[in-house]
Amino acid sequence: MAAALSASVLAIPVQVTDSIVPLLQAERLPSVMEAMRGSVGNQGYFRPLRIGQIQALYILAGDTHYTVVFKGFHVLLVVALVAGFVSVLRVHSATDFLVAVFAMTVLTGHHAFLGTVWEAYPINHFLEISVFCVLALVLARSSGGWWVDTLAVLIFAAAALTLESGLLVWVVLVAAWLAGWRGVSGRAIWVVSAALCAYGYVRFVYFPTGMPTLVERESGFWNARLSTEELVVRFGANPWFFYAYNVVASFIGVLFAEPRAGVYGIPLQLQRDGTFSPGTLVTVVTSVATTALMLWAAASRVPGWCRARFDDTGRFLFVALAVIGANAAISYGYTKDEIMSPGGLFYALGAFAAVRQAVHSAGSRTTASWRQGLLAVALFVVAVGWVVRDVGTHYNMHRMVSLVRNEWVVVDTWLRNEQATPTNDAQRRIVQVLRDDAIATHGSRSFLFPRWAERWLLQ
Amino acid sequence: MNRETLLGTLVALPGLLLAAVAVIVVAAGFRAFEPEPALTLSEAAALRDNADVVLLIREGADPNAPAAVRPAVLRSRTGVMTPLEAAVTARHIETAGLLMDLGASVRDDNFERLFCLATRSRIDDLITLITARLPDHGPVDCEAVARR
Repeated sequence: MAAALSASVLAIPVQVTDSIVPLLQAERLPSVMEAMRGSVGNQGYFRPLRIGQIQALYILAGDTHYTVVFKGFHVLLVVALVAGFVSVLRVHSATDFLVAVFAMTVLTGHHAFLGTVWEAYPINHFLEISVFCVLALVLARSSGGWWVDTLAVLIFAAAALTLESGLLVWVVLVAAWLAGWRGVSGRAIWVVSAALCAYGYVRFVYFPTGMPTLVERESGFWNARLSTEELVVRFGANPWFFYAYNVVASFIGVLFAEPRAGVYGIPLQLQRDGTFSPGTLVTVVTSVATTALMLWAAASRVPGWCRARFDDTGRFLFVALAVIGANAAISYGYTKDEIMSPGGLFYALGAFAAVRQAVHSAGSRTTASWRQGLLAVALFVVAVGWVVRDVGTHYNMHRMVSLVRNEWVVVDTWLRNEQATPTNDAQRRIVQVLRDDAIATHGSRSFLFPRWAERWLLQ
Repeated sequence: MNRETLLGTLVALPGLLLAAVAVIVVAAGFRAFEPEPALTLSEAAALRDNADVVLLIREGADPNAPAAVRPAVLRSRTGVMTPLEAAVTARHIETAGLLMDLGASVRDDNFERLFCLATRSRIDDLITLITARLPDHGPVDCEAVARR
């Protein structure tokens, strides 16, 4: 599955929007340090490592290898995510293996995952944060040691300085420690917590970076996308309701696949078309069924959690719910699927634990045959649904190939409109090399996809 | 096989099948699964696939040569038309302009047909794009062109 994802990632050229401008900016800067130093004064965002990484890869690419280096790094992140995911599952038995296959389809079929593989800016930092989070959990599940503690602190620092959602690494470490996965020692948890406080001091006091405001970008609300002007008109005087909506929408969006990016798709489709697509139905039904299973598995354990009693399934579910909740809280400013990608990752881990529990329970001799049969049919149907969603991930990635290639044909016009026209020969060469690479990619013939594919697979 | 393994197999079966298909597709390459014949320049133009328009011309395709357009791309049956005719029929102004930039020409012998296709589209910018190439051409009777 990692190979298939990597192949689809490599098929998509470096995109124009969100990628070319940072690369042109990188050309103007002399070094990684200079790029990071220049980024710390930005209003609303504190992401020095994000800019530093782009600069480092730009330098590594030399004059011509932008596509190879940036797409290669994207593939490395995909492989790291899959490897970390498999490592966290600790497959020891045939049942573990079989349920892990299911969990993998949940991971790559989840709607929050698509944004981590079908675009990059030119690095997909959302995917990077997911990798940091899963590595943190790998450390938490390890047998520990000074190097584990050191790595945990370093991973937190790298994640926090890359994106705001990197702070989720702290949530992963603390939740895992509370649940009894104590590969990362209590002392290291204190160090990471101190680093979190230091982050807050540096961000809000030393550099008055502050937080993003309502005018940063458009956002979904109920059944519409609202422009920044509309957001200010509706919520400018009292943004707390909007922030609360985003947190709730992000949380239930991961669990139930509705709303997506703050917008409820089913009412919107019903209002627009009088019906909704089968793909939406598959997405919502699979998410609702899987979440129901997770809630069923969690329900009997919650009293034990209050007394710090956890079994392996409970630990997975506790950490998953903590990360999804924290991920939703951190998305208060605006919500979109890719921001919730760490939540999607931990949703898949929770699904692994819940389905494994269901298989164990139903497989016992005390369970009635008719219940076993019913559960078998239900699990099979849900598994088929997740595979449909997984195929949808690839389908959407290959639609993106066509879209990105055609954007490169008109890149000069786009750059002019963005007031980012290259100003020297080196910048013109960057554009030329990337355009040639993109056009030379033989695109997926999206018109040859069967017509039903759009209704079933479009996410 | 005990009940637990049987249930686990049911849960994993769709994913295992998907993984098997993925291995085959990756091993063979995505292009191995594209139907033959390969995309023609006229088809690329009809589909507003501007990147393929550029690529195919770079690879030597003649921007003025008629080429086959398979069913469902523009019409229900196979047709033969020039890339510019395909772009105009599909009402893609950007693609028509791109083809002209890359060597597709509007001449006396194809002006009337292109003009009538553009007129049928009722897109003023498309009509202007065609007429601007031969501004001195006299009026065109599209009904007569259709009867030919």
